Amino acid sequence: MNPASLQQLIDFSYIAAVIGFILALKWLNSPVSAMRGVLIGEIASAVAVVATLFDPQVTHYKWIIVALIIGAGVGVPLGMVKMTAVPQRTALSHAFGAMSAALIGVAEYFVGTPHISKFQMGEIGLEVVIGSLTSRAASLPPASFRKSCRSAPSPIEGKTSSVFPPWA
Amino acid sequence: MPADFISSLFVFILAAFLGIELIKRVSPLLHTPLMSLTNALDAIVVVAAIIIAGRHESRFSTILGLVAVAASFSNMVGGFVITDRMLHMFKTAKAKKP
Repeated sequence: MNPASLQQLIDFSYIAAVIGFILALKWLNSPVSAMRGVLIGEIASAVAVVATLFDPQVTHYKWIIVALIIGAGVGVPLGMVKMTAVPQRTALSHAFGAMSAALIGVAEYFVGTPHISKFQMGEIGLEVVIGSLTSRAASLPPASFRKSCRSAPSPIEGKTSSVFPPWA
Repeated sequence: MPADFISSLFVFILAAFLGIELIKRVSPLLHTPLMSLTNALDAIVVVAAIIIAGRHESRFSTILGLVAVAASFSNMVGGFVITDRMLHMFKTAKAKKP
C-alpha cells in the first residue's frame, strides 16, 4: 500500500474510533444499552491502537509491544479489585493517565527542543503542569480513604485496605 | 498563530459541548461505571505515547514514551475490565430481584 492511502486509512480509523467513543458514552446513559457502550468503547480503542501501530512514524516495535504487554499485565489485576475499592482504583488510574500525559509532554519538548514555537511551548508546558499536578493529586485520595477506613469500627479493617498500593 | 490552531480550537470547543451533552442525562445509578469508562477512554493518549516511543528519536524520549505507553495501556485494559464487571453485577442483581 502506498504511504498516502495508508495515512488516509489511519485517519479514517481515528474518525471511526471517535464515533465509537461518542456512542460508548451515549449508550452508557441507560442500563439497558450500557453493555453495548462498553463493547463499542473497547472496539474503538482497539481500532485506534492498531491504526497507530501502522503509522509510518512508528519504526521500532519491539519495546512498544513489551510496554503494551506490561500495561496489560498491570491493568488486568487493577481491573479485578474488589468493588469496594473502585474509587481508589479510579483515582490511581487517573494518576497513571495524567502521568503518561506529563511524560509525553516532556518527551515532546526533549525531541523538538530547538524548533518549538512559543505557542507549542505554552501547550506543552500546560500539559506537563496539569499532568503532574493531577498525577500527584490523584494519588492522594487512597491515603485519605484509608484514614476514613481506620476510624470506622469495622471488623474487616485490615482486609479493606489490602488493595492499596504501598506508596499511597 | 499557527494555521491549524483555529481548527484545533474549533474541535476542542465542539468536543467540550458534546461531552456535556453526552453525560448530562446519565442516571446516578451509572455514575461509577461512567467514571471508570471515561477512565478507559481517556487512555487513548496511548496513541501519542506509541508515536513518541516509535519515532525513536532519542533514548530519553523513547523511554518516557514507553513508560507512558505502559501506564496508559494499563488504564485502558483495567478500565474496560472493571466497567464490564460492574455492569455484569447490575445485570445479576436485577435478575435476582423478581
